[in-house]
Amino acid sequence: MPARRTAPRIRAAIPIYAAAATLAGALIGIAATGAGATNGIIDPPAAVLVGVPVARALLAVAAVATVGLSLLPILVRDERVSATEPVLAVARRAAMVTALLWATCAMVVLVLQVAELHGTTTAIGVGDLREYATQVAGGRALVIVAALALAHVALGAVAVRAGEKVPAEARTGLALFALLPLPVAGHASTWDRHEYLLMAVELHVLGASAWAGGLAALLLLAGNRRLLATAVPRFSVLATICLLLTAATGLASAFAALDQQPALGLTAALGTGYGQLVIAKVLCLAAIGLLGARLRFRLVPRIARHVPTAFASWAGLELALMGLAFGFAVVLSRTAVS
Amino acid sequence: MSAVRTGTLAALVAACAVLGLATPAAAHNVLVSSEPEDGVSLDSSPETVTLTFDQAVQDSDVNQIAVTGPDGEQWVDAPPDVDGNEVSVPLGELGPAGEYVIGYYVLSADGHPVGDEIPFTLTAEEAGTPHAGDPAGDERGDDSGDDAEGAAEDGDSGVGIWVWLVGAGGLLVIGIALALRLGRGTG
Repeated sequence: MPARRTAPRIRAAIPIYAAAATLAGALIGIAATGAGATNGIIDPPAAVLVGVPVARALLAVAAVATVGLSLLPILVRDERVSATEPVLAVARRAAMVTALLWATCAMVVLVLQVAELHGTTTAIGVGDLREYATQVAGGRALVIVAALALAHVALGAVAVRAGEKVPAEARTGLALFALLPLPVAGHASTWDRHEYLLMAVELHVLGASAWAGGLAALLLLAGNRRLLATAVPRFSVLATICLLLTAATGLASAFAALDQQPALGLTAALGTGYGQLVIAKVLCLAAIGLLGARLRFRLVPRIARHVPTAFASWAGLELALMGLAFGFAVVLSRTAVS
Repeated sequence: MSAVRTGTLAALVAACAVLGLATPAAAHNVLVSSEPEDGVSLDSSPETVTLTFDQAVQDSDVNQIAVTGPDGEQWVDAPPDVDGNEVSVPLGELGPAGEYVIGYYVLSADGHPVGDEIPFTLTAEEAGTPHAGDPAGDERGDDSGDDAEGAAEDGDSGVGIWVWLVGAGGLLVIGIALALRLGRGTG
């Protein structure tokens, strides 16, 4: 067995840092956009206004982790089963837990959004939830997400029983599919030429989730140089595709959104809460790109030669930055340019 | 090779899903016009406030229209009436001259709530008295009062949000415990 170069305790903490970064991003985003009160109208309680983005940030973390854990068997495929099985057994169980968290978060967001709509935290009835889930696009999307996530839990349970006989492509495909309903119900659906923009936003979410999730899942391999040597170069190809996809679709949809307010002009639009979040995400992407380039050109050749590297530390830093960008994204998806 | 295959697979799934899910335009309602108009100066009170949107408004108990006077007092004492694209609320005589603000929050055809403010100015003082009682949502810190009022108004038999959240948390813990047991059973 190769020596462990990174203390396991530090590795275990990395996902927590990434989740914390996501929450921080969401909270910074709320502060930047700060929805104001409308005169004379019952405002949603402050707890709900903060609670919705926080729950959606947790939902994003759970979704990304599920995608990554489902992807992991594909990244280590063709390695000896005796080498991969200890890691994959952990990944399968972890995927069940994250998919459960994903479904729960979707239902919690549903309850919180009903509370937001009704401006109350004390009287949410089953009828209110049913009405929201059937009449409101955002409610329908959350129910579909919860159902798909639960289907992933069921598939995961079969995989925990039967091992890798359940194709990882099916698990990955289902996880990616479950990412799609929420952006359909987001603000993007209000723009001109929304069909193309919706596609851009969907590809953005898919690319970013596969990228961040894959990177997070690789941390499970960090103690095993042999598996890293197989998986990291493969992931590197995927990451490059995802980087290009995420950057292109993100910029395209941001410019389209800013362009929806022609009266503002681009400079003024960048000064709005929406514009500031876009700038923050571009900065995150630039930093993630630089870190990714370092991984790709400095670490990957050494990992491929089975040379010990500080992979977990660099990947953890990149993951934390990704978390921040996801947090901004959660708020951005609920914000209109104004 | 495998990563390329994964990428291709992801792209295919995405393409199918986007084509399958991309439904026709489901846009939020946009305010087309209002009576009284935005920023207008009036020398007498309007009898009703009417907001016209570009598409139908959902008739829901979530809809609200408020008129807030120069000193923060409330002048609307009726639920809004939805008629197709129009939402209206009757208005009695207003009071002191000054700037009034129409606040609205209505449920779009697609289900997203939209809200905004429309100011107008009353140039001559009138004899009306404001709607008694607290302004509906004047103070964000005054949640408990609002909630009690809201619950009493629609006679909803709902429970507190914390009950739902604790329930969700409990189910999650049970689910995770079961999932981990299942894993141990074979591992």
